[in-house]
Amino acid sequence: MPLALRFTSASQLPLELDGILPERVQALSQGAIEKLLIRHGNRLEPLAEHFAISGSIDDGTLIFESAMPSGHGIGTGMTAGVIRVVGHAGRRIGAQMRGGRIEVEGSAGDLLGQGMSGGRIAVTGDAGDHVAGPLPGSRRGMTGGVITIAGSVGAFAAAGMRRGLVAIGQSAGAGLGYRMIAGTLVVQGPCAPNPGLEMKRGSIVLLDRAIELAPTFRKAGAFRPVFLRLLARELASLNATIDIRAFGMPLDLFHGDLLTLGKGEIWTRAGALASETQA
Amino acid sequence: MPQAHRLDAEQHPDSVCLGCGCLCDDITAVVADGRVVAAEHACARGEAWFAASSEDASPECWIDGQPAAIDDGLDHAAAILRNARSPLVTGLDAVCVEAQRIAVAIADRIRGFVDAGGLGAHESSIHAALEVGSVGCTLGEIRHRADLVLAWFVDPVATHPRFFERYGVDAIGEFVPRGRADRRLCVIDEHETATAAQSDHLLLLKRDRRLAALWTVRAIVAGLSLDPHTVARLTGVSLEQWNTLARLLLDARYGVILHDAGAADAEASIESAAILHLVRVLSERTRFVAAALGSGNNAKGAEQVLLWSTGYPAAVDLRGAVPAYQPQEATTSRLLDRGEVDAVLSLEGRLALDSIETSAGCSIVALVEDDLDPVPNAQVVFRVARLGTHAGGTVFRSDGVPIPARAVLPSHAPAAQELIALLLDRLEHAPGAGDA
Amino acid sequence: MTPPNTPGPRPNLVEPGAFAEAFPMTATRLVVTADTPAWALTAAQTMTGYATSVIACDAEAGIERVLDESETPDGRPGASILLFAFSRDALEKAVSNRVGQCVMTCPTTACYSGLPAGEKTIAVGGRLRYFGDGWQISKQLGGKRYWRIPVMDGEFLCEETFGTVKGVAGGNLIFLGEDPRATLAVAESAAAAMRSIPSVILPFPGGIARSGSKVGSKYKALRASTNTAFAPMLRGQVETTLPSSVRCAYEIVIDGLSLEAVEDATRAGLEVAGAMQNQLVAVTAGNYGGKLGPYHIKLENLI
Repeated sequence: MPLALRFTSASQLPLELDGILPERVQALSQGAIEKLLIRHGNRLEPLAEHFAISGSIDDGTLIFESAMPSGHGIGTGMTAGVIRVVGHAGRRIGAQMRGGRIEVEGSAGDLLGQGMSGGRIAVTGDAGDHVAGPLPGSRRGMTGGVITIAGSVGAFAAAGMRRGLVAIGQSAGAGLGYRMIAGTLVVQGPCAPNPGLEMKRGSIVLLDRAIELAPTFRKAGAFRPVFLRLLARELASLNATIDIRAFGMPLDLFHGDLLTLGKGEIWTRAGALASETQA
Repeated sequence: MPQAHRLDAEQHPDSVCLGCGCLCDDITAVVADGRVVAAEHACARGEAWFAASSEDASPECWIDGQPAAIDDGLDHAAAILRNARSPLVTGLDAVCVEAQRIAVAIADRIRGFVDAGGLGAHESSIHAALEVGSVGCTLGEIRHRADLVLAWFVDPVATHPRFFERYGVDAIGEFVPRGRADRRLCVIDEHETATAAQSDHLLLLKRDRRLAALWTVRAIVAGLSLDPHTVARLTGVSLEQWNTLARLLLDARYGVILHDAGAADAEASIESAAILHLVRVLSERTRFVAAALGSGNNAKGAEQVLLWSTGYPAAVDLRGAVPAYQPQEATTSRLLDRGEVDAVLSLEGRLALDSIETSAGCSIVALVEDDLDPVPNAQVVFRVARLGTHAGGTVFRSDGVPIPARAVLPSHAPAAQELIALLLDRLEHAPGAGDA
Repeated sequence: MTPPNTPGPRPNLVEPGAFAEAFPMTATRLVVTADTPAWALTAAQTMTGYATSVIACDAEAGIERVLDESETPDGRPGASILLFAFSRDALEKAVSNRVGQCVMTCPTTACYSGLPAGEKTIAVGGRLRYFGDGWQISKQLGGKRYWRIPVMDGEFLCEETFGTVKGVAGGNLIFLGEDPRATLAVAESAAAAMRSIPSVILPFPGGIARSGSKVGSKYKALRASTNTAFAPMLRGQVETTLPSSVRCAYEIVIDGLSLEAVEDATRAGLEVAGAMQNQLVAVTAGNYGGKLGPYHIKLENLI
């Protein structure tokens, strides 16, 4: 049976939920859980002041039962277990997460999976800016784990990404894969011009039919390497909302960003590059 | 400029004009009848700035739109801030550094967010400098050394009228003895601006092509070969023209890229970083710097004060035990847009005014230095003396040089730093000022 | 041919007390895939070549099974291969050399670990990646790391590390007969039946060895020499273990990932021998007197 937390407070002020983790709550009695302190604005307040708590966590699952866009930091530093969020949630979900699983049935705010190094995040709705990005002051984004988002994402998704897999079911904003160091990023829908700027390594697969790349990406040709088959199978097993039929035919390969090492790769549908078709 | 002043006119040499980011400090303000009647050496923009200096006799404080005594206002403001659970101190860019440091102390005391404010215009350049590092210089160095100026989507001739005369293209410098004749001016902009009219080399570029253009130039300077069709299609400018520009940049002995602090969006932040990168690559072959033009406000000062007092340049969260840097969360516009604050201390009245729509349920304490009407959505408004004419204080120029501005006119209203020092005092010493 | 109603093997078919003496060996399983079944098989055959016995080969290897598209990591036809060596270091060297020379070179192939990466692993892609000369790409998917090495038909993909287990090598059956052709026919049928057992390989040519060996030699340099006790033409010159009517012996050597697998294969071989007993004099197994190998597979226990 999962432990259910229903948001009962009317407050819109930021609520920091970073300590509320399955592995931490597991060892606590109901009374102790209710007394766990969370930061509400600039005060520390007991969890029970904002949430109605029911059930127990014997199956390792923690459920936030209601939407709370001002609830931030859910699953920060999580290492095991499952957190389900039913409804929209705030920023920094899964920040510095190392293991376990977070399922958001709704949309997530900015900074989803910030500094994440392991585990799995699945979002059924959209996510904000800086998905899989770095912690403030760091250049290195996500270093491991998997994020799948069924909807769209804002700016700077997978910026500075170092390792892991991010799959986006719809569109992506500006700065996609900016300064990517390595890792794998798949976007089903349209993405803003100039993805992958200053990327060093890593693979970005863009399945929209119209892509605009910076002049510092150079085409290698159309290929269907085994790694794309493996990626398609992995996406299928993750239930990512990616149409993997596109992997069934050769994709155009571009190398870049030649300004920064140039060992990154962007894969697009054949002929998707606007500057190519009309050149 | 009137040459003959009235006999009773009072002259204030070395006055500082806060009309734009030039912060010209060679102005002689001529005061008569309690106002600045002339500003010698100032440009038209500067004259207008000094001319708007008449002190107005409106009350010094309003509570809920009603005139009130400063003391009552301070009590009221202190109560609002003390009881706030998620307060924000912002608008730091509107006041001098002396006031800024007290504002940070207030934010620390009430355990809230503190941010420079404005429209986040400064954000992208702060990010870029943090991520890339910046090769900069003082404006004086540009004056004395720069033989190539690239104006990147800026029009200083219109916005910073004396920039070229004092720091840039037209000035005679130690190593550019013939002034304009020794310098080249390149302009890249969307339209034929006033600056473009004076340029030696102009490239017209659509605004949404900026990143493609910067990448093209960076690639050429880095020695990469590019496909001419791709470049022409992506930038709307031929590779040949970009090659010519790159050659000009590389042939410079000392080049400077003048740019704007930029907007707060993703592209602008990538653009700012790319400019710094370009400067870095150019500096491997010759001497190159980037300089932001800046505006008349004290955004640079806010950055400096926040840095030395909290360790971070903007968007600082002082709610917890140690300051936290939240550039993607705790900027003024984001906090207000998301309704995540319940009280705002705004050192800039305009900001409070603009945030009416978004600040429902949020108490506002504002400082106003213009002769504005009482800020309609603020609970407490204090009128403070106008910086540069009625109050003195230190302002940082965009190149990080502190410029002391002096009062040339008397004021009934306190200076911003005096007012918020009183407010800090209330917060520290008034009953219930202990930890919340 | 055996009459259909033969009631099991005759009592003296399996030599009383016969046991195979088997050794632990470090083992791994590879899955090789390619665009077509033919190329997958070519790669598998090439990489398991010259791998009959560690007496003189770097490893013992064989094709465990041909795999169809539904059974491989990348959804292409493939084959699974087992390799055995004396130590993990020796296995790592043998596998990476073989994959490098025989799989990477083979058109369209890719190579995966067929065992879960437990705590004991060997680096394969992790060693071969240097062939990419700096252009190799690491890719982590589903908790595994792969190396993508650029080659002339695109890229060769190879998993970084392969799981290893303590396998069992040296299981064997020896078929003794009067008529060499009939004896070989039994051995062939037995090998076919034994190959269908999962997790084992029969490393010798066609699964069958005709030059069984003993430890040592009169020549100092040789570690092994012909098993004189089983060589029928030496009868009368040396001590022989062959019954007097026997003029031919064939051995099937079994390497498996576990003792159970080796025993299962042995049992499958014995069943064939039982079914074809009229073509045999006896079935026995090779050992070293029980002093060397820890595993004693007693044939009588498997009937």
